[in-house]
This record gives sequence, C-alpha cells and structure tokens, in this order.
Amino acid sequence: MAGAVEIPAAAEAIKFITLTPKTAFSLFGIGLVGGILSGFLGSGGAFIMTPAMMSLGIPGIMAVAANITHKFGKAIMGSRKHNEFGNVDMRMGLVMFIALFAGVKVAVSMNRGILAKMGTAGSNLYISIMFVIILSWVTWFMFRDIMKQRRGTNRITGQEGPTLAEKIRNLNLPPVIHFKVAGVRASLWLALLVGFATGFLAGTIGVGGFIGVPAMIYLLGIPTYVAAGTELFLAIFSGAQGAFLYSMHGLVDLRITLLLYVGSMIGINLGAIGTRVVRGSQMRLVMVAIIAMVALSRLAMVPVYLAEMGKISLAAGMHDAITLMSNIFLFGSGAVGVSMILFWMFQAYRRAGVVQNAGGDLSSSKASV
Amino acid sequence: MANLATKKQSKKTAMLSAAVYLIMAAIIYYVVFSHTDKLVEVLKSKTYFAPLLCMTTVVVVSFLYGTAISNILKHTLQERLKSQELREE
Repeated sequence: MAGAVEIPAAAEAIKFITLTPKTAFSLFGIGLVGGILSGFLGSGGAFIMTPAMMSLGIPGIMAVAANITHKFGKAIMGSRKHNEFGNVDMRMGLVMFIALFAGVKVAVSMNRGILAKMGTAGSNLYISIMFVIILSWVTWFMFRDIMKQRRGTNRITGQEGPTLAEKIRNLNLPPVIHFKVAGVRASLWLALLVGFATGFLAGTIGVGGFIGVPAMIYLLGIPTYVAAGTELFLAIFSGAQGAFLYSMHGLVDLRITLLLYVGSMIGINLGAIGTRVVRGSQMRLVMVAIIAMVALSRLAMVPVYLAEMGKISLAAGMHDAITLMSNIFLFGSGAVGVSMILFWMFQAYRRAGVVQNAGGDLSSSKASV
Repeated sequence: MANLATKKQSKKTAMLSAAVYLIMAAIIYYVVFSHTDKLVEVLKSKTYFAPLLCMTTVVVVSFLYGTAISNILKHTLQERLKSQELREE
C-alpha cells in the first residue's frame, strides 16, 4: 500500500541487467511467492520480492521499480478476482485512499528530515525501530485475538468487556457510512483515520498493507477476506503512481516485470481461491507469523545500523552473520507463510476429494437401486 | 441435465478463451524479449513514451495472462474446492 514514491537523485548510473535462464526462473519463483501472499492477505509481496530481486544482482532501485510496476497490474487482476468473490468494498477503498495519500506525504516529509539530520544509517535505524515497534505491537494484538478466539473467550461469550479497538469503533462519530460489501457501518472519520495512519506507516516503513489490513479488521470491523480484497483495490492506485514515476525516470526494466507476472498471476489466483477455503482466524495466523518474523529480521539489523552510525563497534564477521540472520528471518517469513497457505489448501483439496468420492458412491448406489 | 450441459459448455468456452488469451500473451512476451535493445532504448528515454509503454504492456499482459490463469484455475482447482468453501465472521 506504500503510496508516495521517492526516487533518489543518484539513480543515473543504473544499468539494465543481462537476463539469464537462471535469473528468469528465479524471477518466476519470486513472483509466485509474492503472488500467493498478496492474493491471500492483500499484501505481503513487496517486502520479500524486493530483497529477493536484489539478491539476484538487480540494483535496489530497479528492484523497487520493477516491483511497484508489477504491483500495478497484479493489483488490477487480484482485486478483480477478489471482486468476483464479493471481497472488495470499493467505497471503503476510495474513502481510505484519500486519507492514505495524505498520510504517505506526511511520513515521507518526516523521513526526509531524519535522513537530512542523521544520514543513511540513522534513517535506516529509525525505520528499523519503527518496524520493530509497530510490527511487534500488531503481532501481539493479533496473536492475543487469535488465542482468545481459540479459547472461546471472545466477545460472543460476553465474559470480557469491549476491547480498545471495539471502544474506538463504537464511538460512531457522524457522519456514519454504510459500507455495503463489508457489511459494516463505520464513522467516516474513523475510516479516514485508519487510511491516514496506514498511509503514514506505509510512508515510514514501506509496508502499509501489514497495518492497513489489521486496522480494517479490528478498528472498522471488516471481515478478513474483505480487508484483503479492499487492500488490493487500494494497491491499484499506489501501483499506478509508482509505475508512472519510476518509468519516467528510466528505472523500470519491463522484462523483469513481465517475468514476475508469469509466477505472480498463478500465485495471486491461488491465494484468492485460498481465502474461500481457509478460516479468517487462519488467515490472521499466517499474517501474524509473517509480521513477527519480519519484525525479528529488522530487530536483528539494529546493531548493524548502530555500528554504521559509530555508536557501537562490530567485527566484520559479526556484521555479516547478523545480516545473514536477518535475511533468513525475512525470506523464512515468506516461506513459512506460503507453506501454511498451501498446506491448508491441500487439506481442503483432499477433503473435497473425499466429499466428491462420497457423492459419486451415493449417486452410483442410487443408480443401482 | 440441461444445467450440466450448460456448465460443460461454459467450461469449454472458458478453457478456449484461456487458450486464446495465453497465445496472445505469449506473442507479447515474444515481441518484448526479441526486441530488447529497442525496448531498453525507449525505457531509458525518460520521455512520456516510457510510462506509456510500461503501463500499457503491464495492463494488457496482466489482463490477458491473468484472465487465462483465472479461467483455468476457476474450472479446475476452484471447482474442485467448491464443497469446502467457508464464509464465517
């Protein structure tokens, strides 16, 4: 959901890479993983796809450009598929987009100020700390909710009072809008606030969907699958803006984007179908697992940035070991998330086979009677 | 019975259109990858042609290839999983 796109001035010397069959196949795999996560959760592709492309030797800025251009088309098709399932609340998407755009602008201005005052390492440290704080809080909040649901001590039992999120939701400051697809009535101000906060965090840490989807679920009371679909609808706008700006600066390698599509279009359809056969609590569990691992990945990098700022000293071997550990957590989060999704889909597939066989047996026995 | 026949027909139509879309997408991929030098020239031009080429190709390819994959999965995996569909919350 990251909206505003900042393009560094030092992007002049970037060269387009030579594509080998190995690179092409790797891009297919990266697209597939990113597509499954995006189709299932509405977000979650970018944070893995960009570093994965960089590890193939694609310059960082071009990896971001290819990713955001790819996101544009992926979001169009993904939200179309979700819309087919009744998962996209366009009214909610449009309301949130306006506030989200403002939030991104404010965050980008703040990031620029920090970069000017503290340099690249300071800026990286600020972003990593924000990552750790926000993602840890979201992880804790969602994990607690899932556990409550599992224990059966959720709001249905009435054993506990309303949560903070429910109190905020129940304020109902006028005007209150009925979001038909989501099936909720929510204050326009609350929707704008969620949009702004999401945009601000997207502009600060670059992964707005991780915040936007849980915020839509908990603060606006939207079902998980509608939050995922609406998030993809929002991504169309940010993807279009990003694709336009990066290509105007000559940074989009269309070949990379097209190779990503080969995998991601399969992935996004698989993910969207997955939302139909997996419970909302399971979707949240995948999200929690990924968010927690990404938070750990960023936490691991804090000493590296402190060392780069000269605040602490770190041996070169230790620097590399920490970076490797951070990458393991980052790529591991994608692997864990995709494995969980595919495992549940495979279970549903097997159950469907049993149902189909039982139906077949029943109809053949009926025929014999 | 008539319903089953219509369903079979729509599956056949969907698969046929998926094949057509796949071929069209493959043609675009071929054109892009066989004219890399010219393509890179336009992409690096920093004129309005670069976003025009990029965004048009992205939209067309995602539509053609995406629709083809969607149609194929809709009539295979999605159909198979129909009995397992959930809608709670």
